[in-house]
Amino acid sequence: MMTKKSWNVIELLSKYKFWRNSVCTFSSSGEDSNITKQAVNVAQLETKEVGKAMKAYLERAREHDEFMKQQNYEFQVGKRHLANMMGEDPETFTQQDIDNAIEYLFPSGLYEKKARPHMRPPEEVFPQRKAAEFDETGRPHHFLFYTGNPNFYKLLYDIVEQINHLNKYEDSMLRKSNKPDPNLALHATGFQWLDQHTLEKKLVEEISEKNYNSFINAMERLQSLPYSYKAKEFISAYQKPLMSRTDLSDIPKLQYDKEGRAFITVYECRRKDAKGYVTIKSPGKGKVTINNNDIRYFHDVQSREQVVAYLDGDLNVFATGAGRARRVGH
Amino acid sequence: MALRSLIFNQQILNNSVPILSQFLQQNGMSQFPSYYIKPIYQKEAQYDLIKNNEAQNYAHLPVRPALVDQTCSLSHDPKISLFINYVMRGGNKALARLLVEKAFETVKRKQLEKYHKAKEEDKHKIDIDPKEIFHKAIGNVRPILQLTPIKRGGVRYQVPVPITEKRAQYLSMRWIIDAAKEKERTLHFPETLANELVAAASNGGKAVKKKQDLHRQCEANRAYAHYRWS
Amino acid sequence: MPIDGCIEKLLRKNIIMKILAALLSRKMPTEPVPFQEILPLRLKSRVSGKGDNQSDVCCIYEMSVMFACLKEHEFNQSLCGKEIEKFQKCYLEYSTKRRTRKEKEAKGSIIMGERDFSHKQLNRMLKNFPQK
Repeated sequence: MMTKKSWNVIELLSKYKFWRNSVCTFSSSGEDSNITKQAVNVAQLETKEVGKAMKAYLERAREHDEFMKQQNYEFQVGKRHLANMMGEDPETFTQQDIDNAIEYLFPSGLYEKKARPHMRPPEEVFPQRKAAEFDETGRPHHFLFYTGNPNFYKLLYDIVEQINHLNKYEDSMLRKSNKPDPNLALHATGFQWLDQHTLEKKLVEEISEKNYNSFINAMERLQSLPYSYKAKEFISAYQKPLMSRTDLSDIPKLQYDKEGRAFITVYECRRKDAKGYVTIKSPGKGKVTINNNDIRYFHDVQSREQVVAYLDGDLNVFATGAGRARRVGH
Repeated sequence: MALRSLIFNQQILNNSVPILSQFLQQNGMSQFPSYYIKPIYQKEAQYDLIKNNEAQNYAHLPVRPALVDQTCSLSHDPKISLFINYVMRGGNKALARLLVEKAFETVKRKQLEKYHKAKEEDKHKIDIDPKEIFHKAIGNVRPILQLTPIKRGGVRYQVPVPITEKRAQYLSMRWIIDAAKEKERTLHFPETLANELVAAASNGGKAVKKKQDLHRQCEANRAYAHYRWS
Repeated sequence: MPIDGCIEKLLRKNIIMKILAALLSRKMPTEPVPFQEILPLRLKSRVSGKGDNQSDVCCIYEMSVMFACLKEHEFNQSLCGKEIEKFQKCYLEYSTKRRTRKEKEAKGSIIMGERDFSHKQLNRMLKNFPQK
């Protein structure tokens, strides 16, 4: 039984190409169905004269479709095999179950997750392709088709359009002696331009580093214009927030004791291995209590300095854990 | 402080975290990747940032935690803590700090003694603050040039070249420490360091002499100055 | 003796004949001299970066002025503050200039209205419009 199982696994291995290290897709999902639609449209027009390029494209699209069909079929069969091997119902076997099964059958100690064995639907594994970019006579749809990177150069073109538009707008405002609203000005901080890979995905094109840099330069130029907030929508489509906002709700609120002194207690303060909780009272006389000792609890001056430097009232600390220097960190 | 650490924990890039292996080798032994900025821990510097409207630029950048010896306390001086680190041997920072503090205390005592002995009209000339004396001493020992060996036609020439700000500061601190260490066994380091600091502050002492010797040598070799970086 | 003289005469005659034959056989060069293209007559589409390597020697004049002052005042820096400041300022300017130039070169991008191009920038432009 055992040997049969392992044989099955090997068969699976050879059939479904688990060991695919990198999955590179240059197009958004749904592009694939686009191809077929286009192909159907074109097929209807086949009675007309068809250009050589279109013919070659149709041939390639057909081959690709066939290939994907075959891969899909093999994937479905493999899935059923796997479900049977794991003793589960093949009809309700989900992708999550497949991942779990693969992790169970091929435990991998590899650090990089992408390098671990996996079994995914072929749409995810094989790079998707662009739909036909020209009509049946071989004329390209896109006016920048012959640049080789039409979508990218269209983007640059759009940026320049925006810049020109904003410049014109600025001129007209100057004539009316209006000034840009400082409250609406766009802040460069807190946002990051889309990285090269994401931009490639967005444009369904490969972009060289040089081209990416020129994109960044153009975007920065657009953003630096005084009326850039007019093009906020356009700019923010190529930005993403750099960091989550600091969550203010997590900061505990001030409490007051019987004498009306404000105090605050923070639990679960951690610094490396050390843990503790801290109470600060204000106003106070600078009285420090650390684990029921005064500031002499710390032997060296550096730690004492650290405790006192931020103090503006009374301090009460209970700390445990390794390393005195670490406990200062609370 | 607890609050500070709490805020810091939240300040981690939520998206576009590069794949770990990409930056693991990047920043030497540091636990923090290179795009983490160093903390601005001094209150004045923070106020300056707010005043110049630059604080917004730092709002969303990931920050390294402050080092254990960096505080916003008034007594903190980054140059002195650097000096302590140069005095330190074998990681014994507590001892290094103790020695430097003792030296500062000795400086204070000496200057006070001088102050009280001086005539009324000379009193304002005597500096009592050991920190000021320290900064003056470092400034006085700072060299303007250094000699680098450059090989020309099989001969090594000692060529005078300009020196960077950082290197000059390092050399001045190093020379003061070396001068203080050059002593008899019966003397203690804090005492000699105090003497050296006071002497250097008034343009005297071994460290200053070392700097002048270097300048003399540079002057003697000035004919080679155009050999720089062959 | 007569045999030797005979041989000598014969040899000399032979040599003269040979030279004459060679002179007659060689055509005299016709004017104008026909041009022969050994290397293609066009400039290369690239420039070498050799000329860009500037020497690192800087502030020599300021240094010598400073040395003169220092020597005059027996290496008392406080009396040569002006000269020292000039020298240090010169070095600082030089090093910042060098740093910015290096950064620019590493980027290689061409800024509009710039006059002074590095060899990398020139090569990038020449690559776009190669010599044919």
